[in-house]
Amino acid sequence: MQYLSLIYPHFFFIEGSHATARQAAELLRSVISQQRVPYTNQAGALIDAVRAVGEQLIAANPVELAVGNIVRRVLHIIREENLSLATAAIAGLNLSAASDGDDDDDGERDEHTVLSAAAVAAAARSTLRPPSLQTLLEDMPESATIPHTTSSGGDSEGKSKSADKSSRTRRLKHDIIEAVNELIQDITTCHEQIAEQAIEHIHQNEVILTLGSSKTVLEFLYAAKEKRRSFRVFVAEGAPRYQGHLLAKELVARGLQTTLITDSAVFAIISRVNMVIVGAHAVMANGGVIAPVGLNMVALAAQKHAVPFVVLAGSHKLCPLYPHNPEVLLNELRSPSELLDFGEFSDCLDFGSGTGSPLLHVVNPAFDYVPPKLVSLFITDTGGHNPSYMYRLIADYYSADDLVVRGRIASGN
Amino acid sequence: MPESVAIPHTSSSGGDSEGKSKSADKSSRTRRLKHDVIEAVNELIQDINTCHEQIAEQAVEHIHQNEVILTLGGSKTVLEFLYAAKEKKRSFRVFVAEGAPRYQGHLLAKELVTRGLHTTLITDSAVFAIISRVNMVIVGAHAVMANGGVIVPVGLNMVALAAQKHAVPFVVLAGSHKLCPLYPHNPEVLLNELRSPSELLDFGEFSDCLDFGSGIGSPLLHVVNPAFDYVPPKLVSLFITDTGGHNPSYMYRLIADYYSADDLVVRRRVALGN
Repeated sequence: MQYLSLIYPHFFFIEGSHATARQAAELLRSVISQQRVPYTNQAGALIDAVRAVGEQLIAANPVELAVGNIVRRVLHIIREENLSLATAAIAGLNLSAASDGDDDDDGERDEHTVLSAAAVAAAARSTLRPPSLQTLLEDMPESATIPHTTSSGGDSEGKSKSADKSSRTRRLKHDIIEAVNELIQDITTCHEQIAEQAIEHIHQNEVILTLGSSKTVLEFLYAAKEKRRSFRVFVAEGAPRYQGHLLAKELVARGLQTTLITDSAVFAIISRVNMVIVGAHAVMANGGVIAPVGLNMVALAAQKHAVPFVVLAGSHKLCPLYPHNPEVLLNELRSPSELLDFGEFSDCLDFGSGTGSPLLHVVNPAFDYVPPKLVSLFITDTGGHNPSYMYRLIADYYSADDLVVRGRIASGN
Repeated sequence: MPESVAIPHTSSSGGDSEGKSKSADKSSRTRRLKHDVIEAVNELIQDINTCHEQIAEQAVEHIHQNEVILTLGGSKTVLEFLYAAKEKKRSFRVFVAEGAPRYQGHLLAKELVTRGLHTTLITDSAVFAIISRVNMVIVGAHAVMANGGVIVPVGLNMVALAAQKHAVPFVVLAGSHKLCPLYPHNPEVLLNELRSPSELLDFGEFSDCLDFGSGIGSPLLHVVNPAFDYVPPKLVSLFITDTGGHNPSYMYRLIADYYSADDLVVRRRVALGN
């Protein structure tokens, strides 16, 4: 199946939340389009299908939080599209109703029983619910929250007067597929949208510090350079993978004045740095950041010298979960071979049952957790946000029902 | 150690008097003591006169290329210090805070410009805004207390707090004659000087509300115009004296070198028999 490539990322060499998120979104899109939906409660069937696949995806690599984010985003899209269709149908019914248009009574009218009572009740409940920012902005076609498509509620209003259930089913799937397409589009273009904001943050004659390598940071710095800002970049190499070397090479190739330093030199250099700009692996609901290893040290050094610590993250990295013990539970311990040569150290590495030989424990975590109090600003594709604001974005992008993604247990064995 | 850096103590002439005091004449030894004391006091006067140059000699160790220095008010020691660094071909910029209400920063800025330094004059309130781009704060002092605290012109405590917030080194230049062996108790009041409100307000304009002590019915405007600030030792990174650079926690040691414990309270002996 297609999602084998997601379940075994190391086998298929898909790494990085960007590629993973895009693949997950495309996979779920094909799941949705292939899913047969019944006449009633089509949204529920889609949700169950997506949940079943999503549960497996998440279980395969829990540390890759972007997969879970995309699954929850798609579930949220399904719910929102279903909701807007239902409310549009209700609105359509209200317009065509000759009487005083009481919502609950409409379902009882013979010539308007296109909607089941359950759907009507659900829509009525939802109209009492305070609207999310997304549904509010959907009424404004120039909305900046691009991940949520403008609902086609306006169109369906006129059409659902003579609503045919199958056409509404097709419409629901169609809207969902459109929304997922926009989501994929946002994931693909998140670098450009973040880079557009570079000019507001990087000024003339600044000194920027970063660690490791991030495509988002690279595009961000390059966009500022294109706008004729002259600034210097210090790149910390980011042991043990030394991806800082690649970033430094790229920056030099694009004409930026770059200096490569070791991780241990960060504290020595931080007094001359005006801003720290880094990418993230994931952003948690409390504003904490799961970042490549070494960035917690940089954040602490930046706090000591009152240097702003700016995190660039596409909105697909925003995770609705709160981190509990993230240094352990949301971390990945990689092979010691990245640090030590097996040949040289074979007599003292910890193989589990060494008799008499000295044991050398090698800890090679992949990620660091940066608490929200060390982060000055998040720059996402929707703009710049305070760490204490991230919970609000989560309310926009995710539904509370989807926090735990678990496939429904099949009835009867 | 004839090459001792602690110049106020002259090398004892014990070697010479050894040969002469075999036939020691009291008056000649008296003349010798006075002579040695006068010599030592001359050296002390010489040190006071040349303290600016001795401090300025160390400038090139502390000011590096492409640095941004911040100072407040006007201090001759700071002026000479910065000029010495410029003479050694270090290129750096200076931000001078004007130092209300006497605005001696204006004079310092003018002097720095005539000597060819890249200078910017800012208000006292702009210090916190600018401090993130400053590499070092260099200031003069009125007095250095035994605990390492500093009596400085008003406004410098604010600069020291801003520097601490942004982890910027706060360097105090002080000749050794400013080192006081007393510990400051309530220095903001007891070691301060409240100057005339006329430096802040025009007596003519505000004569109806200034506090003259016995105003009947008229609104009282209290004007506080302190001359000095007290900067606690934890905010000071380094003292540069004519003997070199020292930590605030080392200043007590210099006091042991320069002063005797018997002299902390300077009081005449009460004459016997009325």
